[in-house]
Amino acid sequence: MSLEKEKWGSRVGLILAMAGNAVGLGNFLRFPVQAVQNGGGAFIIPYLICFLLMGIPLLWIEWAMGRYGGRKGNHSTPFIFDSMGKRALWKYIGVFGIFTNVAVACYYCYIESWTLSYMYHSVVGTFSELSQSETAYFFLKYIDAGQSSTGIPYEAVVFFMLCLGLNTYILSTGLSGIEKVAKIGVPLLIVFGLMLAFRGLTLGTSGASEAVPDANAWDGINFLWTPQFDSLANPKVWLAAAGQIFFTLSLGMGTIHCYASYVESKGDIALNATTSGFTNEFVEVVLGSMIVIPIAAGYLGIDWVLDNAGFGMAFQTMPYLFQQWGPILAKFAGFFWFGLLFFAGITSSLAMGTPWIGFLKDEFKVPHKKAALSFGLVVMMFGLPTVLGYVVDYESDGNIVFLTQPILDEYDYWAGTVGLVFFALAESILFAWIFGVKKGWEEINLGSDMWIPGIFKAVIQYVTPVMLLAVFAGALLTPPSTSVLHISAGSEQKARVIVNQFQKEGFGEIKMKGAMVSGTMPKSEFKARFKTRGDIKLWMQGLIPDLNAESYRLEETQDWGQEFSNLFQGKGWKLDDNSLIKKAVNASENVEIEFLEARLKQSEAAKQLLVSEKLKREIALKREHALLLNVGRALLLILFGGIAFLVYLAYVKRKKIKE
Amino acid sequence: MNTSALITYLITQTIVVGYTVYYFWKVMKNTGGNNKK
Repeated sequence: MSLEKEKWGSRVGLILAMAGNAVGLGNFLRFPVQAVQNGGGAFIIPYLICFLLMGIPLLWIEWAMGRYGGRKGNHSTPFIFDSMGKRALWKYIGVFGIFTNVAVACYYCYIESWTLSYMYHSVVGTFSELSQSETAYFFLKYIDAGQSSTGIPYEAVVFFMLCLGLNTYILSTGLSGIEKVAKIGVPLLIVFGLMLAFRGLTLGTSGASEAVPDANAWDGINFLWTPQFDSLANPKVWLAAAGQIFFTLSLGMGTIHCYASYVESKGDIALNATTSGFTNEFVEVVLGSMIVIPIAAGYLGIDWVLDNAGFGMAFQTMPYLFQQWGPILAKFAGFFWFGLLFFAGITSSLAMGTPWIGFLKDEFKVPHKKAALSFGLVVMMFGLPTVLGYVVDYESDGNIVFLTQPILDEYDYWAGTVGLVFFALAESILFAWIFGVKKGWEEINLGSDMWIPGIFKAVIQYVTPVMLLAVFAGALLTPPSTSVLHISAGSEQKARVIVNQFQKEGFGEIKMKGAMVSGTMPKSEFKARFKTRGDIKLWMQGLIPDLNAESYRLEETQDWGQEFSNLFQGKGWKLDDNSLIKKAVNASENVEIEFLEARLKQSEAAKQLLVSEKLKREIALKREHALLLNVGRALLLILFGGIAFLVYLAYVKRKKIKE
Repeated sequence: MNTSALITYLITQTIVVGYTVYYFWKVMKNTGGNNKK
């Protein structure tokens, strides 16, 4: 156990470091997309309820566990859990609190390095002459590590190493270094965010062009905030809201435990945790909602935004949109945007290094600087495969047709998604049921500077674990997705026309209420029929010419009720391709390969040589993709096994000392 | 901005900004921004 009494320098520094840990790229890129896809303004209702019933209680739990562990000289979760639970198993569940951080840091530092590189490219004006498609293509060229846009060979690798080096250096300076970065980085990212959000709010229709005459930033804002109350009955919306709260607060990682373990033994945690949680919400709800969606809708139109909303917009679209503000402002805006993402990223990645360092210091008496260096080396070893493990296909002229990053995706899914939910579920059970809610409640309230309503004792014991169980089950057993198209036809007569057309197209569950029509279709079929919202619009305009983009709304649902009913009737349970179980067996990749192989057999039988060659190439790429998925999983298993072994060695060492 | 969007926007922003400022104020009031010693 560590005898060193390292502590936070100031309370504001601690809160900002915790807020910086929580504020990440997801605040600006994941939240607005989730809101747009899950009921717009109505999303905020389940979102805030989940914040209150799951987010805040889990923050208190993790802070309390961390301070409790710190008091006993433990700064990482394996032995924090061990000191709270009676069974040996808990310390191995605690391995997740180190493993997840290292695994996530491996790809998070890489994404962070993109923001660093894009800051550089924004300032030197790389994007000034590029069209929208060229800007998007620049990103593909960048992550195709063999190419270079600065003349530096392997540019993506160089920026990754630079970013990792910077993280390692700051980590080697200890808590004071992390605190300094948080005190500068968090206020600066809020200032940058406010400037860009102001632009998002004032853009209006000034970004409309000949190509997109109806582009309007207000469409984006309206879409984000108009409540679709019927979506509240959709379990998928609640699961999405719970998931968002969970990821945005960096819960279930082990970083909060580690940071809180350096809080004074009777120092407040309840108010500190609540304040850092609300600071994260401020960045997410106030700033995150006002940048990407309104600015993109202001130049490219709401339909484009709804078709393309996702992580890629940050790098593939925003640099182009900033160019529309003139050469000087574009450089500033690019610098602010990628600077904001960089600070959001680095304050999180620094937090990911601390559990590893704390563990090595506590258990093996490794000096701080060496422990920080070892973190850098492990992240480099397991992180380089995410940089270099991509599948790319080129056209004959050398242009990239597509590029995937299977290892990065696997790390993100298993460590950055599944691992977090599992760990949080386990810790909430440990805290409320093994350690005991009575002792836990006393621990949360010890030295508290705020009054916590007694009802939260029951919330921590029952509601939070049940909500986490629902999120976990939601990922494990996701039923197939169904697309629901809602159309406001304007009159009953027009609505009847739509109903007829719905029937011809094969929609199910067609409902007509006044001028409103809705119909459902399995998502896979719907996607095959309507690839973009433009296709829906075109189809509708063919039916009724005066309909506009606001006349229709697309929703996605999962019929849990139907699956339960099927299960009880002995008909089994259907799973979506995105469910954990199907992902574990690479179901969608295997289906695609089988489908392509069947087509290859047909084309070879018909002696279509060109088609056969193309199919063979596609199959080879799919196999390469599937192979890299498995490589990613194997690396994660090695990493987990390695950390679990270190925990075992530490346990044996502790036992010997006791004897 | 349409009316229902504006109402949702204002309510949400008031809750989030209000509580963030309130809790920060509480932290500063308790400690003056420094560790309790």
